[in-house]
Amino acid sequence: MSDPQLPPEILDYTIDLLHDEPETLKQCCLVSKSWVPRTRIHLFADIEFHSASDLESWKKTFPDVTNSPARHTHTLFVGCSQSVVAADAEEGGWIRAFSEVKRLNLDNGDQYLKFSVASLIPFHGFSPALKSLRISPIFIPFPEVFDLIFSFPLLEDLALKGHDESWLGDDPDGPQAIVPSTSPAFTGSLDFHIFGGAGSAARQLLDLPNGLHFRKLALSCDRVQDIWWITEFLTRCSHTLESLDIHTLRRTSICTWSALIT
Amino acid sequence: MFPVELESASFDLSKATKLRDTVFRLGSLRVEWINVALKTITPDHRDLRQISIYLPSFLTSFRVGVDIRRSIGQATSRGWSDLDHLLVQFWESCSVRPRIGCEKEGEQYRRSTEYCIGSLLPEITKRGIVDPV
Repeated sequence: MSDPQLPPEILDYTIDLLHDEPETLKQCCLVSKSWVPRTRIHLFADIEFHSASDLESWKKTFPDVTNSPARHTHTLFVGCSQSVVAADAEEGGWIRAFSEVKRLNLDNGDQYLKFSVASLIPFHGFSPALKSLRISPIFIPFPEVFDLIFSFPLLEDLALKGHDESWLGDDPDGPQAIVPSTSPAFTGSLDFHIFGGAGSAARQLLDLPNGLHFRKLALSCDRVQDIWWITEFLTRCSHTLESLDIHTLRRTSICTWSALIT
Repeated sequence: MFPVELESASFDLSKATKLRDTVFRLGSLRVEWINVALKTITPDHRDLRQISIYLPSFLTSFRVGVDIRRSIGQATSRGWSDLDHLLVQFWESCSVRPRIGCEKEGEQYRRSTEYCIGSLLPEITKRGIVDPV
């Protein structure tokens, strides 16, 4: 069915109202070919690749990278970065088809041991519009993680969860990523849950030339040595801070807190 | 040694005057660091609406009826008394009702959590100015 009398802006408006009703949107695609482009904008806004089979299914459905609906994706979840990187290598820049992504969640769950440095490189700057980045869990050296972070100039929100595998402990003078001359804006939220020594990772953020302007801070610490960077984050963001969430885990023992406060 | 570390351990919120809500999640029963942070909040924090405190989940293993104050020792207990007093002040000065609870969810934990709150923070409990998280 086609309705040539319906003004396109009315059609667009109507479909936009259905943005959070995927089943209805799928039905809309069957109504008329002219309805498909607008529905695609919403149907492919949020894409999740949990496994290699999800990825294969996408590639089979959309073999032509340049004409795939990847450009409509605003929120991308990748739970199988190794497979995505392999696809990217095979097809010469497959990840860059997702060039309008605003929120990226790299979560490797129990596959974290396969989450290597190489699995981050193809993601570098793949979407210049990226505003929110979540990486979890991190079991790779922080300089490489921050190379990725710094490749997104418009980044506002950052969430890092994991364990310091750079073996730098709390050495803030250890190897660092190359800090860009203009750092991301960082005006949103910081979720920082790094265990086993977060000093070097914290230093990377604290040394940014444009400073930190987070409105929300959610910080976890499991060692008394973490106190310095929590204090620093609070100080640096004090002029913008609206929401604070501090989580002390049990390894920051009763004795250590007691010793510091008494 | 300790005074220098104490200085760096104090979470100073005095300049964070746009603060709207704060959440403290405890890994142990020592609350002095929360008290230190709360004491840096001033009348300039006009937007402050919420103070939430999550008790350590192991607290739910206390049986209802156990004398928690005695179990945790005098120094720790004193910290909770100070916190109780501070939360009353926040209620009186800027109508901030504290939200207190435990990360663990479920009916079986609700009673023990309420009991712990009543034991550790008797004044805010008595006045009915505490909400569950």
